[in-house]
Amino acid sequence: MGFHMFNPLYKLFSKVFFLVLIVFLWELICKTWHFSSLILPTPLEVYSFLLQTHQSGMIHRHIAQTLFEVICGLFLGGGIGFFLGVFLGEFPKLKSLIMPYVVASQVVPKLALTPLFILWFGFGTLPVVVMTALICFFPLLENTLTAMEHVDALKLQLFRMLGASAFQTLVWLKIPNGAPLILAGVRVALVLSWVGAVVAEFMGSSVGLGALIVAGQGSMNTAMIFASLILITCMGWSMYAMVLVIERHALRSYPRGD
Amino acid sequence: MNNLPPDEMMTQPLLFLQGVSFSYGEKSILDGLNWSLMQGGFECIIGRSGCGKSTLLQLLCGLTHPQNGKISFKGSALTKPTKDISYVFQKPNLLEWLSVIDNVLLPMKLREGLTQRGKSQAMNILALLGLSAHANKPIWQISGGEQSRVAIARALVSSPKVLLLDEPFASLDAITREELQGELRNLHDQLGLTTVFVTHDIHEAIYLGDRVHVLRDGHFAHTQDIDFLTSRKPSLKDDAHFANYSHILRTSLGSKLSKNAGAKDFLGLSHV
Repeated sequence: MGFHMFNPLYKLFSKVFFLVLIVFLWELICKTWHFSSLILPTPLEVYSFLLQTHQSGMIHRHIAQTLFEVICGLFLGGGIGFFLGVFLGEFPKLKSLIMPYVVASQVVPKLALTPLFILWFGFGTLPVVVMTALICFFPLLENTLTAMEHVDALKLQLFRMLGASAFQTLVWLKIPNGAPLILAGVRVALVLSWVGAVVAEFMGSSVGLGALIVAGQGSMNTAMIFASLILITCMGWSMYAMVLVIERHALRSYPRGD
Repeated sequence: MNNLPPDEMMTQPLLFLQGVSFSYGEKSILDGLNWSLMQGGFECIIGRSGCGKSTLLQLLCGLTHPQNGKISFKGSALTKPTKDISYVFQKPNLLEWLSVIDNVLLPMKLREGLTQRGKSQAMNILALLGLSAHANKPIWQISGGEQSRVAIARALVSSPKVLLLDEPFASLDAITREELQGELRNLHDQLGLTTVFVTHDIHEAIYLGDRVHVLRDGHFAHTQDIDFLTSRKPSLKDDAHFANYSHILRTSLGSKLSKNAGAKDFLGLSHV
């Protein structure tokens, strides 16, 4: 009973404890088997790399670049996906015409498109943003379109009886009705946006955490690779948690299963 | 829409159906239906499942159009839904993400925009239906009976002349249904509404209606005026008149459970 009273605190404690345990085991493995830092750096080596680059300010430029590309790609791709989903939902006859091309754009390996994007958009931020947007737009399009197509027929009848215009039906019924599904699409797109930005940076950029991983590989600096991966994970996770909080707030008036 | 002077309105039917026919493909649902709906009446329509009760309501609110015949409201052809005719669905059909008050205000928001007067009108209707305490609650936090009340409140908020109800209490328990029947009849009398109530429950139709129409084979096979000497209360259902009306309507519906039909069936004389 006493322990259950502090349940959230207990949960936080167990999470922190588990993380410390993993880091400790990592350090222990490196020390026990004497791995070369070229193969597996110790957590302390990664930490000291992060501290040094933080103090010199070198890492900030890379973090800011990737974050900028992720946010731009997410808004651009997510926005296009959402509006195209709404558009195809409102004009379903166009769906069979457009969807095959949309699916084709997704099944083609993204990495194979990067050289093409560099040719078209140059070397730097733009091809990375375009690649991130291309990856982000699909989950939003699919989820928005599904939401538009699955509106209760009785509710549509109600809106017709109340003399609602197509725009009013969209704003007052279809979008709010599909909001949980659309926001789930945002979460998926957010996770994929980090994949898109980092993969595009591998080939088309000299700045950013993806470029830093490639530089780490070139200079045999494994600590740099690990530091970049940890930063990508932490930032991706933080953004996901942020969207989850926003989503919970936005959907607070919706019925929940629990 | 109202082209008639007030004195003429009293003698003219509010809703008028002339030779209305409707079919789904080959299947004829309504076949040359004629009906004059006078102002202030509480008319019930009963019939077996699939006889066209809901289709008739959709025609009456202007959502569907007859393939033959014409429907006029206040002397003009009814071509599209109007704020003067409100509809209550079989299910409450509320927007789960909105609060009780926002659901009630929906017709105003969509039609004329929200005004302070509209808000106070909505609060008055909620008070009339005993829902004031629930005004700001989400829909999913109130009971099924309360959701049905919200659906009625939403239909009444734009001060309609005609209220159409499509088996609104069908999914409720017996006690709640009885309470809501009483409340609906009171609202009808209090607000001077013209009400059309579709049900498959003969007792509900007799208890609520001034007139009960039996819809069969695409037209009103029988129309029964309901006249009670006392006011409508649940004990009325034990009245001899009530049983008599019930028997007449059962027979009109072609029920094998009606006294005569039952005896004839038993003797193998149902064709007589």
